[in-house]
Amino acid sequence: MFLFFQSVYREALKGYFKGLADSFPIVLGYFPVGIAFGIAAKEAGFSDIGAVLISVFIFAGASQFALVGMMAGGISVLFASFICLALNARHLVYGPSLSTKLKTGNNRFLPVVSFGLTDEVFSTSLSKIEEIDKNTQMAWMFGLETGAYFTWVSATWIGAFSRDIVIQYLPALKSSLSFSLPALFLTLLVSMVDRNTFFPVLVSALISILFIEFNLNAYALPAASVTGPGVWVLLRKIR
Amino acid sequence: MNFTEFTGIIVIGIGTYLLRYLPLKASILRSNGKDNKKDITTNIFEIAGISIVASLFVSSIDIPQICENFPYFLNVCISSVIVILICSKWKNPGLSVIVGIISFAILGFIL
Repeated sequence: MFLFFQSVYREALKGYFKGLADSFPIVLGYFPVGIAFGIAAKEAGFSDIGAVLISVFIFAGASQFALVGMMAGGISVLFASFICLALNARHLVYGPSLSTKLKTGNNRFLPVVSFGLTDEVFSTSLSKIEEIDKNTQMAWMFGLETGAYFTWVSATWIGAFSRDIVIQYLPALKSSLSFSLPALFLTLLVSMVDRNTFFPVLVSALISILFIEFNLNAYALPAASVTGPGVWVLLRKIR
Repeated sequence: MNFTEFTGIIVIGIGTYLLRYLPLKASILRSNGKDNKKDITTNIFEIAGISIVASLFVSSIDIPQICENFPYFLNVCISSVIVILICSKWKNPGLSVIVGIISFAILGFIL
């Protein structure tokens, strides 16, 4: 019995560290954005601790930027909270999509793992989780999220505490690092798209561009999540 | 930070968490009741996932700047091609992202 638990524990630990190693591309993407958030929060009038607490409790990039922007603009906390939750409503479609790849029978850690399911963690999980042994999928996701979460929080801290220094040197660095998140998403796309999904995904990307062009950024993601499968179903019927 | 602001942050934190947790939990409960055969619903959700990643990629690029600034557009295109090539060749996400950032930085100075 003891040996059984020891082997299960060892497997989980192995999965956790693999997840931590696989979080490296997310870490690269989060670091500059986290620093930028720390600076933005300080400029919006939050204290150093306040900026870090936002990242600790919310851990959702876009809505955090929106929150500090609205607070700086004098919008009420209640209204700002409502807008942030509306922005995060896109997470509603992540669960159904990710569940198609999860083969784990052990869902005890699901409440913990759900906390860190950001855009980047979701995308990375979607592209890699099928390669992970079903018994260590949750541990792997937890490792992935640990790397992402601690990078996000510590980068916010660096941005908030060293704002003046960073502002002096950031412009040159900022433009170079602005490609880190596109590079991450593109990498994940390359590993997921095949001949069967290429055209529907291309159409959904074009639809997203259209929405962004017409300043409807908030609807770009839901529209893409409907368009892609819609085109796929249509093509399937034609064939 | 005053008490109202702190409460607001906690409310957003809890709300965001529930938006992540509840759909995932419900979907896993739903899929546990089925056999492992891929049905059309599973395929639809899989393609929805990839489409979301495509949309996140598009959203992460500065689209207005691409339309107005040709050197920036060229830089994004060349760096994207480099990322795709590196990723296809070595299947290493970390390497692709690093090379993508470096090429974007170098091209930013050249273009």
